[in-house]
Amino acid sequence: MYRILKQRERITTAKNLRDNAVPERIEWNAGQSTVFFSDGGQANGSCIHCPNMPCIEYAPTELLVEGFNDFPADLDQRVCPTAAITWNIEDSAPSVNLDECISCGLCVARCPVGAIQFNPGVGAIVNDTENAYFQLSHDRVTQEIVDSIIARLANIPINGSFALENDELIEDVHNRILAKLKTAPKLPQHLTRNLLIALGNSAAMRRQGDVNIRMEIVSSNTDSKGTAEVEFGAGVLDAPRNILDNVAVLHSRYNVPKEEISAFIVSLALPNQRTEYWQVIKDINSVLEIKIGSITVTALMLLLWARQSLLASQDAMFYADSENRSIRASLEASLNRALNISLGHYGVAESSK
Amino acid sequence: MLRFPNPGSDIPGFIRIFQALFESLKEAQPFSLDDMSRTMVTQNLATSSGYMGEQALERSTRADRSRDPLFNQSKMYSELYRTLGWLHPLPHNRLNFTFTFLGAHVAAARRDPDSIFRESVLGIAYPNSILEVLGNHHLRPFACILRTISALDGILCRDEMIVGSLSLENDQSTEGFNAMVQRVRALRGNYRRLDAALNEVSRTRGITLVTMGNYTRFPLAVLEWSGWTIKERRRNIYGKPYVFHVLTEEGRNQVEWINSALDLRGADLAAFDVEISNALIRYSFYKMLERAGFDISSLADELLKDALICKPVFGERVLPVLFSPFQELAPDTVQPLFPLTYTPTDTATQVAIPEPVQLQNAPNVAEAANTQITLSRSKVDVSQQITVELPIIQEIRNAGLRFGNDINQVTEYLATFYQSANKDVFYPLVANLFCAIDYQCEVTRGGVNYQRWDAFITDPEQSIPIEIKSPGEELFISVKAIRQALENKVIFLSRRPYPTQENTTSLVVGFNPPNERAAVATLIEDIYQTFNISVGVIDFRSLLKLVASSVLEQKEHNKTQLQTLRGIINVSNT
Repeated sequence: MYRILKQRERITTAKNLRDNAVPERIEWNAGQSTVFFSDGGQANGSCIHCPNMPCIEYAPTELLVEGFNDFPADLDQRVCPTAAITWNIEDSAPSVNLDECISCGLCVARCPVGAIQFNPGVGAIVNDTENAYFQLSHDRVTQEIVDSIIARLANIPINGSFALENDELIEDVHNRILAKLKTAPKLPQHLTRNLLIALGNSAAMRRQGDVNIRMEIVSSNTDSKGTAEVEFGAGVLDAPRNILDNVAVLHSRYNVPKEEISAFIVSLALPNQRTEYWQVIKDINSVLEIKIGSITVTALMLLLWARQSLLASQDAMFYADSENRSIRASLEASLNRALNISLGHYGVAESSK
Repeated sequence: MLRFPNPGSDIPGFIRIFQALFESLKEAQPFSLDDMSRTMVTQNLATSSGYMGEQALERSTRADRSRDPLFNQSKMYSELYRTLGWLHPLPHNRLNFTFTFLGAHVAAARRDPDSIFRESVLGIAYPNSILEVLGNHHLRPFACILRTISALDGILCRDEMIVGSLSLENDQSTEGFNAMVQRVRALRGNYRRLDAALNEVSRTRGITLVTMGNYTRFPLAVLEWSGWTIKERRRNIYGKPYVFHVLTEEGRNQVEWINSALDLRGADLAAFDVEISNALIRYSFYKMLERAGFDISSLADELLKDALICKPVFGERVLPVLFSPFQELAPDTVQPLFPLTYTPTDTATQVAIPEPVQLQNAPNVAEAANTQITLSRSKVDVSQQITVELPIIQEIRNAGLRFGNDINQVTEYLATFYQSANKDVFYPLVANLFCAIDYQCEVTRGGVNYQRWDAFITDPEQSIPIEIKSPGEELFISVKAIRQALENKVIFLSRRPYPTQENTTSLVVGFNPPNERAAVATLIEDIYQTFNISVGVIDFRSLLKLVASSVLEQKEHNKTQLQTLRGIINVSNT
């Protein structure tokens, strides 16, 4: 009788965190992480070759959204919405194709030891170089070895940001996204889903081609259940009415109380000032008492770079309307500092026109 | 022309569905299309009729299976899974299936399912003993397409694929293949030549141009997803922009491999004795798995023996073999060579087989209340009271004369007359029809951004925004129009351009009633339950009926019913 064969497994050498090293804190600066130890030493985070590849894929359970078990989710486990980070079976560590990287920072945030550097204008780079504290062993890597290293780094303070936003970085990211939109049609939804997860929510995106359910994104956290429309083009003007459809379905068919539904629109840039969009958002709030948030995907990214969380809720999700077309104040409140980008720059925090 | 069904462009999702089906149904073979539907729905891999989960299954199921969306989806998936060799039909019941040994490996390919998909795609060949494919094709389509792109300077557009690779009768004939390449090359430089060739294929095969385009969706999605091609828009080939599929380095490497391999077809095995034939089957299958990332080291000795047996075929040098036995050979030929067995530890976590759902006709769709508009005899001739000259009234009268005042015939005649009307004709027509039954109705002036509705009825208390969809925009009223009607009402209530009340309807007027009646009716009800806003839907014929009844029979309609309409209109006499 014939048994089913297995696919060849990756055989990678483990990297250990030196036995007597006691990590005290991690500092992020200029896109690189440094681990400081109690003996006064320090070392850059170095890839520990995790068998479960958290920088590359989510575990299936990470893609579940409480309360939306039946939602037709696209179970694409890729962390990188452009599949820029891969790990060939012959290689010791993952690597990033810088031509595909959009500098979102998602893989950077996923690495448990801070081994992925964030290089503005270049992209993410995996550091696999061993050093005095992260050293190659003779053993084959196992999940147990990796988990024990992660446990030693857990609960220590992490300071600093992956990157500090600036006009040049925003322009670079914006252009990279635009370039990828032609070849990656589900990039907007995929990127949004993953950013929401990275910011502390559960989130799911609708399967491509499923024409029966109209909601694009559902999310959940301890405070609320959410629905989002993702529009990177002119379709953003239709998004408010689409959101109302989603809210009606969630409330009427799935019994989610209206006040617990967070509804928001994720765009590449905030709509122009003169469009009716802002007035319609205000009308909806006035008549239906529903605050539809407007947030840009770059805004979500810079929150991630700043290592902040953003739990979607009706109050949190960046409400702006015809009386105030800016989400700058909301962003700065989340960052707890001033935003380091010019007014209207690429429509990240306020309309560019 | 060779045709492929279209499962959509989400190929990883397509693979995931198969893997889930395998986990659920491997202990319940043979299984039916309904088993597949049930599994997909209960594992959240399919929805239907705007619902998820068990409700999707209930609402999809129809006595007429051809109208059962989930059944048809399962049927389409099963066809493709058979094409890829992952399922085999039962010999005497082709709508019941078992998983193949190849399919079991697809299910086991958790680390890298993409490679085995690519190998399966390359393994597709016609004719074969698994599928009954129309047309006289002796073709390994994906290998042929890749070789064609390579031969045509590394680029090929969709239409060239149709008239070239997918219309080739025998790709194993060097002469025939070269002639096809030259034929396509000769079309280049003038798009009219390409159009003529395309039309000729359409005429000869009896397939419309649109359908031919649809048949290419799956192969084009596969080429790009596999990394073999990228899309580029080029103008210099035909003098106008065409999307070309350009061979990548990976694609070129794949072509090189194809050209170096022994391209074996099922029919070729007849030339060999049973020992060689069986050895070829085993050898080619396991080498295919090896290329797909599977560890075949435990079979090294057996494969060496098989390679020696196949020496008369290979010659002095062992060649790579392009042949996928489960995709070409009859199940009773190939399955005995690979008796499938597996233990639970060999595969991913087992999923409980869902309990069978009692399949029954879908429950009646609960339509919203307040859809009735009743007509009753009027004391006056309303149309005589309309002081503004409305051409539509005269048109109705003329039609009435022609058809003996038969309302249904008059309605149908005018509906046919206006079935191609664009916005410029249809919007004012709709407004005039409302005017003809004594409403103050106007079309919104163009360029007034804040008036997002297409027309509106003014009233001292119950003004109504109207969303209109001309037949040119949308032949059947859809959920899109319902959403717009909701937004219109919200704006009406917020900005109060005209007096209105919360319970006044927001209307949608379109040419035909909704094609997806259930989805529209359900959304209207969802909106009402959530926002307490009524959306009413009037199709063109119903509106004509209201007006014709007024003009020709002096019947009036219940205005209150129309002003509070919620749901899809139903006009009836008292």
